[in-house]
Amino acid sequence: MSDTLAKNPSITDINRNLYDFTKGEKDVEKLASGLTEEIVRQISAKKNEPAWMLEHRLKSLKIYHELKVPNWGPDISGLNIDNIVTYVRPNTKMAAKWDEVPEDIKDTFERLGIPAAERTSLAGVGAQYDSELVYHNIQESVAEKGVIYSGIEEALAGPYAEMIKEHFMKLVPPTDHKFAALHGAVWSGGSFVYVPPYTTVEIPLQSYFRLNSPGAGQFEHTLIIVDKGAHLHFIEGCSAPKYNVANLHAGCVELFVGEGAHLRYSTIENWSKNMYNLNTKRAKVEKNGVMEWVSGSFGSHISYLYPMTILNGEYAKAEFTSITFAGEGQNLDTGTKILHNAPHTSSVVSTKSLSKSGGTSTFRSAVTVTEKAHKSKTIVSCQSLMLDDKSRSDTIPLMDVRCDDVNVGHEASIGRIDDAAVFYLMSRGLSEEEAKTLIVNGFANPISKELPLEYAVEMNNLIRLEMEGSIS
Amino acid sequence: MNTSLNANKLPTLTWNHFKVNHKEIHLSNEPDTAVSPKIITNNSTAVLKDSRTLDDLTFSGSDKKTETYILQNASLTKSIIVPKNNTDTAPLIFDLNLQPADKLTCLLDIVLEENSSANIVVSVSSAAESTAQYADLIRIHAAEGASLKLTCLQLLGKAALSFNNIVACLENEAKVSVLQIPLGAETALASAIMDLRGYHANSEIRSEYIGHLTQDIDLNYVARHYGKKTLSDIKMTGFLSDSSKKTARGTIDFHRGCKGSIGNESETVLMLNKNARNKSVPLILCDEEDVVGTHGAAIGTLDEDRFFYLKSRGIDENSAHRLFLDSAVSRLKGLLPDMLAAKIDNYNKEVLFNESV
Repeated sequence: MSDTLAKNPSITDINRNLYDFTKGEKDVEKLASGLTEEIVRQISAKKNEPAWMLEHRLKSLKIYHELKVPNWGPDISGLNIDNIVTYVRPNTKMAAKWDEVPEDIKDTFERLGIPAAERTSLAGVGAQYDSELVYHNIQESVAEKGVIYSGIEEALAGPYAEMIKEHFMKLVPPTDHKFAALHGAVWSGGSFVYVPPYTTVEIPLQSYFRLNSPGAGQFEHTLIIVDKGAHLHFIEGCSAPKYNVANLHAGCVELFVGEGAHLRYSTIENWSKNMYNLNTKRAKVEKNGVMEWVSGSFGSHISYLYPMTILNGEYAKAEFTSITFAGEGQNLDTGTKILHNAPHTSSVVSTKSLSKSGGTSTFRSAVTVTEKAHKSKTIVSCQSLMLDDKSRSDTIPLMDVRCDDVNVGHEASIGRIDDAAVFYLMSRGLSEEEAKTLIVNGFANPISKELPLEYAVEMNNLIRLEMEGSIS
Repeated sequence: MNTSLNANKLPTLTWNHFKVNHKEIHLSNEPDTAVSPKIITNNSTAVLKDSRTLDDLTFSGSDKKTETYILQNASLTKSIIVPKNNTDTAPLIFDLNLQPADKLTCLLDIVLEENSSANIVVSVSSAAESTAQYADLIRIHAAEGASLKLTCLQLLGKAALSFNNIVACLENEAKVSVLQIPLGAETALASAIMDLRGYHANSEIRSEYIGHLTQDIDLNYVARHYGKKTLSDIKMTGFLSDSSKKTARGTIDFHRGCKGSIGNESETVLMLNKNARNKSVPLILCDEEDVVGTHGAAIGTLDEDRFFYLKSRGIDENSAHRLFLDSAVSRLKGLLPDMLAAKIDNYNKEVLFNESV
């Protein structure tokens, strides 16, 4: 068993040193806190973006003010947009070599293991620090196939500008909800990926988002277009140090999966526990296309996160596999939405959630089968594990079926770790904490086995950190 | 003038655009028609009163506005007191037959004293062509060791509105089994909310429906576990034919301290028409570690192999649907006292299959 588990078992807090380090804000440029038209115009001006984008931002701002905060979900009254700085620019330009990245920022990503991962197991990396990308690179062999992986702002000024205009916030319109509108108004940074027809990117691409500035928001936009018959695995990581003021993440991910294409989108979300994570992710899948989500949510103070898949073409498929671990001070409301909008579409949703040390974990889902989705099939399975008697776990699934010849299944269970299993493992020489950690790792195994090895290890480490001190 | 109610509220809200957080209904404030129930009973021990008896008890499921509406408008108020240690479980049947345009609001309190048992049936019906409105609130207190079987059969006409509300409070070792059969009415709401307060209290909620024509069925079931080792089971089964629609909310709510409790919830929906619509919202809310909560749902159509077999025997699709509906009705008849079976038969012919009786 690991050294960590051999430590004093009465630790009551979680060791997050891996993520919880801060860097100063030397020479950073920060706009005033709050949300005004002037701030939106300032952000737009800094990016030298096309006129339609400014128009889009201003329209989104208007919508933001018109829409209400959701009346369902966790309480977000602690989030005051007047205190949030929507734009923080590090004092550097985007680099294509780590050596060109300022030392303190490079050190941050070194500690998070990003350059090392790039060397061993990634085909390209984008790294965002606060509001701007600081590093972006793609392997030559992948670029030679015609795969585009760049900063979205950079792409907006290049040959793919029209393609971006055609797709930008079309899946997630600003009218979708208040924080989509906020994103539309102040978005900054993020990645653009285009995979040409029948091209397979064998090794994953990864974007990593780091929020360093206290009281700031991060609003990156990720747009991925996987053309007909192409294959891609994209990994998204994110983290932030903990501050005693609220930070906000309202990013947006739009994924277009073409006919017969395949996209896997993996996320390990480990924001700090002062973060309001109000992120929106959506994918549209055409005929015979496949969309796979693999998602681990460990961080944030409050999360509203429901990646949505629109199965828009015949025989399109979606798989959603996720784990959520809510610890002390966390209220993580996560899940998914699936829209079956074409015949013979299918989806499988498999989620696990754990609650510990007073944390609240909520699984929320919506599966809609429209009149067009004849012969479609969907199965939703959610399992929740309560690790103590101070925590809370809710499941709130919804099924809306408007077609007769379909097959819709749902199963859910909530419970705690079986005492007999713990007793058995203890009889084999494990401590109670070790036994419970082993069982929780087994519970999470269906998710971790879907991740690349390095990320599965990271997820298991996160579980181990969360479990540390669970037996006092 | 009407009273607008947000009925059948989901205990925890979800996305508003799916329109499942509540059901908005409008109930008439016009004076109720005086309808006297025909009380068919073989049960000689239960005591019937024309007054309320459970005003002092707090039920978590009582929606204040609904309760106020019922208390202010009820033209029929009854209490049934089942004495301590009563073991006579012959069915006590309340048979309410409404005229086509009747409006009836009913309050029924059921008090089960310690270790008593009772079997109560509430049947509400009207002619097939009816615009009747029926709203009730059935409040139940099951004292220690008491046991109740309550069946609510609703056979109102095609244009009617029905709102059948049950709230119950269960003490130690008490058991309440509720069966709701909302067969009739254009708009049919049914709700049962159980407070499992005592040790090892046990509730069963079962709902059976056959959605037809443009019927709108709206169900809301909640089992709230407060006591230790409490048990709950929610089962919803039904067919949706024609352009009918149904929304089912089922909630198992484990409160802190209900150690050792178990809650199960299951739903089966058979979709028999492409214009039918089903919404299901099965919740498990859990504030206690030492519990087991499970939910399962299956929504689909008739098995193609079965269809194929029936076709090979010369039975077309419409006849096959009719067969399945007939079998569903037969099963419902088996759940009711014999004297109500004929009513279901008539209703079945007149409304489901548009045949003269």
